[in-house]
Amino acid sequence: MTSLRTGQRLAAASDEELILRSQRGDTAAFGDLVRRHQDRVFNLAYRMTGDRDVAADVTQDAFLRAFRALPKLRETQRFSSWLLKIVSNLSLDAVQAKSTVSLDALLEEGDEYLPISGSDPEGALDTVIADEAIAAALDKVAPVYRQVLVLRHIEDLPYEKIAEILDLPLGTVKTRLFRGREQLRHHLTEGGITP
Amino acid sequence: MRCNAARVFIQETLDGPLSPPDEAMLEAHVAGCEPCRNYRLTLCRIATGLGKLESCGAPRDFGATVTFQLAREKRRRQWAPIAAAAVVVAGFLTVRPLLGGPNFQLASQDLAQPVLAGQPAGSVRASVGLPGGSILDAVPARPDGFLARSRAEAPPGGSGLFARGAAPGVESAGMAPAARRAADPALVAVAPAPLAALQLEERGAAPFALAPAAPPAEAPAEAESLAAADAALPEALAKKEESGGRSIASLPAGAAPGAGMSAYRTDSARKSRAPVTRRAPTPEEQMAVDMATFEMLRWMDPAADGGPHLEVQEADFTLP
Repeated sequence: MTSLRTGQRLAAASDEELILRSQRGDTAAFGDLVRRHQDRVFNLAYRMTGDRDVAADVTQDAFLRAFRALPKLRETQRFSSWLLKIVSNLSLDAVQAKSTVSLDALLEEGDEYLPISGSDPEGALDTVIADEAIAAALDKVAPVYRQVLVLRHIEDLPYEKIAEILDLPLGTVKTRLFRGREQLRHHLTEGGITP
Repeated sequence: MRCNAARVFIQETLDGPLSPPDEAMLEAHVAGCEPCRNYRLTLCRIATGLGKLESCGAPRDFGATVTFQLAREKRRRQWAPIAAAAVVVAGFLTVRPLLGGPNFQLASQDLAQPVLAGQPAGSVRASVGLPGGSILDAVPARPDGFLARSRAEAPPGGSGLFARGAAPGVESAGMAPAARRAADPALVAVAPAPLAALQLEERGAAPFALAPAAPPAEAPAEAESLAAADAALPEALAKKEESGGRSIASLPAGAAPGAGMSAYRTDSARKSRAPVTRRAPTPEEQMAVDMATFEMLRWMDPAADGGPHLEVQEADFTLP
């Protein structure tokens, strides 16, 4: 009964209403916001960090920061983008903290496009890439490229939204996306998944 | 169209349609270029594979954990000013006032000496003078908190006891990294409190009380008051030896204003036994001492060194 009421309450109130109530100190309303967005936020954090525990920490941290900064949020209709921005940045920080290599070193400026094979004798192109293979390859992509890949292909966001979330020019988003796909292709090729 | 340009177009097709002329050019190129055909197929598989990745939902108890953290956060916000004040009160209660009286005056040059330099956090204290001339060491209430004096906060012409504390730490449950701490040292005015006599407790030492310092009818001769203060010194030093801590001067009632300073002479002064001129500090001297005290105490503030912060838990305090 309680979960039914919660579900009804969740379904009834929009994000804006919940935000306004949260800004007035209603932590239950913010709790509803958390439940509404937690899966999406966690998924983003997990795909960015590749680790469930780290993703849980990042997600929790993201919501707490959002709670603290909520009084300053004026454009309540952009809560979702704002939240994704927080978790993207925190995820990137977490990945960078894990990595011993500097972020700049991971950004390969040269050799944007790797050679492509002309033939596909074994018909590898016809098969679907397994989740594990693609997740493993994604984990090897440079964090700043991975960030854009996740937002574009997993969150299914357009360039403009990604640019808004990451506070980047549109051109930079496209460049990072292209390079991220190339890196992904390279790692899949190395693993023999793609020709 | 060259392969490099074709690849750019192929990438763009993953995010939206090309213009009809561009699409026509690409299709014409791809039709005659097997590598680019394979490239396009590979990228399509990658995009499909990414999109198909199973969505990982948050852990089952995640909502409850965050709600708990939110409640703590809310409590922290509510308690922060109260906790800072509670530090003050707890510190004040440790230095319990027994009687009311006129405002005290800060002792002068002894405080400017770095007599407490090098003391570990927790034994730092401020010395305050009483109208009767007693010099007191106000002990810290908590390991990292102490009673201090703020020049900025001191009411004009008077003085007061102030406490420094830090807002309670906030821990995010499940965070592998170190807990987050909100360190906002707050100087909180207790009161421009009249203090005449205090019961002191030094860490590790037995508590002992100062007699209330009643204003004398006549100021005794300076030599006599000095002698009286010096007579009290061995006792104070003996107490210091016993306790292993700092000496706390205790003076007989009726001591002249300023006489207490002799009981708290620096080592060099004690050794020289030279007579010391006593007088009440001028406002400028007072200001200089205040600044020196403030700076000294701030220098010894463990929070400034990145040391442990005062952790205030609401359960630790039972306010009267």
